[in-house]
Amino acid sequence: MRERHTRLKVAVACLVLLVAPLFSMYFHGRQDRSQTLIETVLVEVTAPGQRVMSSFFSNTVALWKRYFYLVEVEKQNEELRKAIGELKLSASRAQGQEEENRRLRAMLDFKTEQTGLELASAGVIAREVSPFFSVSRIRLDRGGVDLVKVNMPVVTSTGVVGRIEKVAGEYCDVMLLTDTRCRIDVQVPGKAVSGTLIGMGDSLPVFRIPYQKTALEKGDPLITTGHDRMFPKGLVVGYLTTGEVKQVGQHLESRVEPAVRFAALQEVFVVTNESEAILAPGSIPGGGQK
Amino acid sequence: MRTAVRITLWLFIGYLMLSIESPLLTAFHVRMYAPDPALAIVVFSATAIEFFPGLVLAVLLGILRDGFAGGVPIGMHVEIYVLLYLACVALTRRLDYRNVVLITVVVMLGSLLSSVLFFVLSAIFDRDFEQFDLIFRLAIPQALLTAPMGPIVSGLLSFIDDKFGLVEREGGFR
Repeated sequence: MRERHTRLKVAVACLVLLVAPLFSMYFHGRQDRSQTLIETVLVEVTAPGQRVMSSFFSNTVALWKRYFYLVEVEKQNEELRKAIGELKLSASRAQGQEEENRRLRAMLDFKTEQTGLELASAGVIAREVSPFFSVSRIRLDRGGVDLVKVNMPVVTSTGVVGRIEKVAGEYCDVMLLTDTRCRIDVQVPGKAVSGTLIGMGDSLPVFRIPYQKTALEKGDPLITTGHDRMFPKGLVVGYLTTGEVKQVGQHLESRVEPAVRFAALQEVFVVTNESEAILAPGSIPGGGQK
Repeated sequence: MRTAVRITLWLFIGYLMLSIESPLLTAFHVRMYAPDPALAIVVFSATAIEFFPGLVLAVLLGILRDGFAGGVPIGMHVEIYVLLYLACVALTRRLDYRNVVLITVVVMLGSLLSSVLFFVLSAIFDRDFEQFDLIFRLAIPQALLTAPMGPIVSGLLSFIDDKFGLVEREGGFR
């Protein structure tokens, strides 16, 4: 009896729960009706959950996209950094080429102007550096096969470098005018002051003249006289660092800044022959000014 | 009391899963292929809970599903879940499907049955609904997507039962 009663309860419950939704569907499926309370309640119950989850997922997706965006940005940064590095290298090369171009053009101009000299261009392949970081000797890629001989002058468009000291095959060594063994007869143009430029090793060369009354000034150029029969006349050797002279025995001395920066030398000329050793005073290389 | 707590917890799990479903599928651009976790809960409840509480749970989940579904007349999923629940209760008398393979199959079949019922009920009660071909086109993909929800939901609910000590008899998922 009790089991029958239970079965009846189950049947009724099932019937109610199956029929009630049908009525609900019939009612809510109609088009001409207003919103019901149950619909409002359902929206209010389900919407917060959806809003929270939607917000959570949108933020997660945004974070994820942001992460990928940052990864992409990092990749782009790396590529840009690489490109900048390449461009810097390229710019550096271009700058070097421009500098080389400027140097070679100056040398070409010099060679064109010096019609009385036979010049052989040479590249500096090595520098001997003293412990005080000043260049004491340079080596060129020209030698006996190029008709280069000992004692030939070595010059650039800015001034005198020195003279050939040794020649061996395709190479030669240059004694710079700063070498203590180096002596060059020079004069201050327009002031009738002649003397000798003496190399002092790691110190600046000295312009030595017999004792006399002089009116030397800082920056006065010293040019070769040609009296030493080694350097052609009229080439700039250097510039006086001061207008004051110091008396040493029977002589007066003043320091000279060489016209050529030996550390930066790349190309030079070797004067292989001197057909006309006299240069016009106005044709001083470098314009006679430092 | 313990059964009421179970129903409440399971209902809450169903609510969470249905809440997650919509934004998750939208986020991954697969809105058309939505699995039905509530259906899996109904199928599992037929094996793991007494008859009347299970029936109440099916009704409540159906109402929730109608709320989340939006466009369907209210009562649609209640009807479907109640019918499905009764079918599953009938099935449990012949087959204990509390294992991964069987519950996957039962949930998949339940999803197909749900699609058929949805079609029939829509045709009768939903005067606005016209995309009947869509139901049959998506029935199998949806069943295949809902099938894995069977073991997942069963495992999760059994875990909750064990965690909160809500089960005295053998009713868990194996």
